[in-house]
Amino acid sequence: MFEGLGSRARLVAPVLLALLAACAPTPDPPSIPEPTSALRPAPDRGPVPADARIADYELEARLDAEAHRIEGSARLTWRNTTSRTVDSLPFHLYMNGFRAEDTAWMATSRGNHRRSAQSEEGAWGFIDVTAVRLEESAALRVAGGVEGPAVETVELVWSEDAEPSTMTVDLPRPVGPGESVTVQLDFTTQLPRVFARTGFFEDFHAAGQWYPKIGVLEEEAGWQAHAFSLFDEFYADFGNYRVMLDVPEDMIVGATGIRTVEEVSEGRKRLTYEAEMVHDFAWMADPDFVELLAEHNGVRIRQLIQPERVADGEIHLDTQIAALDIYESRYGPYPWSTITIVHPPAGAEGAGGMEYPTLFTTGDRAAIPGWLRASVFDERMSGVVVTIHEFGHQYFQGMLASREHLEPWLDEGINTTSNVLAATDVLGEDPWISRFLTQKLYLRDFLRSAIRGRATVEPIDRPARAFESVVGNYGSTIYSRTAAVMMTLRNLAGTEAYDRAFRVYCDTWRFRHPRGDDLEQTLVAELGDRINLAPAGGEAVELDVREYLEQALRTTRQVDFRVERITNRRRLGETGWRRGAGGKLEGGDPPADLETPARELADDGVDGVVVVHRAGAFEVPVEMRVEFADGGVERLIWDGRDRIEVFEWPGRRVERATLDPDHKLLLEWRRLDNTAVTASVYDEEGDGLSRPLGDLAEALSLALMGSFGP
Amino acid sequence: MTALRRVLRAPGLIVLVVAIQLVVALILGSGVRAAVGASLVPYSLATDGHLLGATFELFGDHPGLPVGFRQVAVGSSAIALVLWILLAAPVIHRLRSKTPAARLAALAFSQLPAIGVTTLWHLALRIVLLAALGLLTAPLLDHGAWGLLGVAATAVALAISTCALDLARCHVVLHGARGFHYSTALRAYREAVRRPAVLVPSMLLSFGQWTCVAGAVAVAMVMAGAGGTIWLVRGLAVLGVVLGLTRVAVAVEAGFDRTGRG
Repeated sequence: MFEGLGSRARLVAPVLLALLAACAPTPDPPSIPEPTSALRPAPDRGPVPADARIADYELEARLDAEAHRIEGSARLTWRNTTSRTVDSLPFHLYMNGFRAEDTAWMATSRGNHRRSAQSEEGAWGFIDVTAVRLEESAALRVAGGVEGPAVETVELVWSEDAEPSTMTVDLPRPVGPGESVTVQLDFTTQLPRVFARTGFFEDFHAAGQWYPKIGVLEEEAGWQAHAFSLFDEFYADFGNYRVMLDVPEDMIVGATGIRTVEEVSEGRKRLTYEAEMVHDFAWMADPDFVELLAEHNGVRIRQLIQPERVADGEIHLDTQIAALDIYESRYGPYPWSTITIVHPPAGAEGAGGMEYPTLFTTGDRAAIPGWLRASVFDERMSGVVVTIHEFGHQYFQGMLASREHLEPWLDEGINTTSNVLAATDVLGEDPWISRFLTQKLYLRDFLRSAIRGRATVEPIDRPARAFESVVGNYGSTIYSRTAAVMMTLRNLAGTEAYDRAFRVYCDTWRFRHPRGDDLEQTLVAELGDRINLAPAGGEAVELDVREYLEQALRTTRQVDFRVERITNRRRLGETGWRRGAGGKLEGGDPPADLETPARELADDGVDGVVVVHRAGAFEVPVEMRVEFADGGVERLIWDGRDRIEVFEWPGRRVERATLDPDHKLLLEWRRLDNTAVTASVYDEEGDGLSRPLGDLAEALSLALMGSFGP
Repeated sequence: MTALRRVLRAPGLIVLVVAIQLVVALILGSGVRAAVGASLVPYSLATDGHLLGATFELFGDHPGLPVGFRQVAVGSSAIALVLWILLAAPVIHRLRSKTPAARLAALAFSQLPAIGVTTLWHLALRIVLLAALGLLTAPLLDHGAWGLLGVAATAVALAISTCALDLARCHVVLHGARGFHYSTALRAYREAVRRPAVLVPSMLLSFGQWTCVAGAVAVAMVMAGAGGTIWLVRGLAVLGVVLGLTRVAVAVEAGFDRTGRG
């Protein structure tokens, strides 16, 4: 059944069946013990560089589920691994983005996030830091030096910045290169009713970005702590976390890392979690969660799902297992021992589709009855796609941890590219994503439709805050267009070379916060500065990889080619006046077949002509397939530099010309003008679309008239 | 079978109804074909199965085209509504007995107000019925095969409603029932559910008719672009018309049974 598929496809082919199958009731989950280490065993987890560990947290949190409030404390040990000396510590107070109407987040979002909106009940969220103390004995010790005999604390001065999503803590003495500092913070976090990733809905609590998070000290740029606005996501150093949660006894909790302690007393449940080499810690609690457990390749997969959606658990689990295999195969070992998938309840959709280290929230499959999916309409976009996307973020955010707020394409865009590849791994090349009867909308159609219009008005490589929500182009530009850029490069450069380059990028930059330049340099190094796209023996037509990336990422140039004209004209003869041997003009016969229309001339009596037009400003080579009346087919590659190129075939009648016949240029969203035929062929074949659409309109008309009567 | 024979004895009627539908649909469909063709010329589409993607791209470039489709839907519905109010009386008379064309034309106009008001009363009752049923069955849609039960219940309700409309119109046209009063429409519902000998064949014919019209759209989708598709579509539409007329004939014969007169 799976013959002819690649090894990766064979590996995950059973998942395809599961994706297509109707959901079946989920059996009782197996009991799979909590791992004893937050990281997988050394042989399985891949390289985890010790020097990437910068910020360790010990957090304590007590949830008041009635008030949706967290009383918390944090103990942060931060290491200065740069050559800089700092005298203050900036912290993110992300939850303050929801504190008032004029915060950067609320001003840019106007209380809307994706398809969820702020509500009057629980309108506001905030984090109120009430104390900051320095642990004196450990405050200025030199790395490797002797710690003080006892911890004494010194109250520190701190203040929120003008934009309350950050604050600055002044240190009594500077922290130099190689030194570390430990500070304690007390805080209260009020969760808003969830509409943007974090908050509560009834008994469900999603605690994301709930504690003060220190900024990132960069060697060249200094402290990086950004005001939190609508499209900004998160940037933080790696470290180890030990977190003690105190929640009502009936709460079922999912969190980053592994649970090491669980104690129940006096109606409360006290849970301790440990996580290693992560840059964030999130937790979710709901008394209604149903726990589904599985294990794959030594990774414990835990789903917390709403009771009414338990039947969907299996398809999400199968998807997660397939994604784990694919991502490990493509991008290297998954380093952690757990992954937790949280399904927010109905009403808390705003919490869905968000990634945290070793934990993510997903979305539900569209409520289309199974019989309808099997017969009339089916789709593969809802639910499982969110699971693939958010798991992908475990790599392209969780592990590579690029600067999401400054280069969102490197996170969301590259992750979306990886999702496209995962979909093709599971479902085959060019998979369909929705189906109406037998007509299907394919992934490449979807990607192309997503990058038209507003997706083209601004360059990709811009900070998140440079995108205005009112323009409505962030998602299509950052997610979809980046994916189209990368998939186009993959198609041109060759799938093996591209996949190898990406593996090198991931292996090189695990836990290293790569930047866009790092990815671009890796691609250039691995693919080569210039790639010859011409077939062997042909004249070289090169793709300049740097130039391609520059155009694709930092300009709004569009890839758009069209067959401007296809025609056959009478072949030049030898009649007319010519100088004879004596220098006199001789001949003067009229041309043969001068009045015969070209379509009536013999095939070898015409010159075939195809005029190709680069209608977009983006310069990239493009392939053309030309079909001739003699049955011949020719493929050629045009460098795409000039605006117009005229191709001519003396003595051959052309019938059809198709630009980019293999659909390599996913960046080209306007393709209806990519194939042109001569008038005679057009008269025979038509345009291929007017007949089916006209038939459909006629059928629709007949159906409606038939339905209403007699 | 007698209802079908009654229909087949009126070939002119079948031709008239079929011709009206085919011509209207042909005109509307040709408009779409011409508009799409004009938008594409001189380009030829090698869709290699990506018909939906190409259609979305075309509609994105030419937003007037989907509006054209909407107009086809709205126009066809409106034409059907007016047409079947106008034709109801002559069709019922012709199915009862052979009647001169001039007489049928006169009946079409003289009984138009009563038929129109009866139809409006009926539509009001149908909306109430379907809304109530929708409220009851909507929760089933999210429960697997139970959702199919909801759809089946809706189809049955629609078929009962259609049978009631046929009966109401027959009572107005043939037996002088009060077309302007809601009770005529209401009584027709009661009669439909109390007379299974009428209701069951009427429902089956309705299901057959709807299968034909849904099949016409499905064929246009499934066989998109293939030669001969449109003739299969038209064939299904003709079959649907015959089944629909037969269903009306069932209601006409129900009047015979009830009153004992022809």
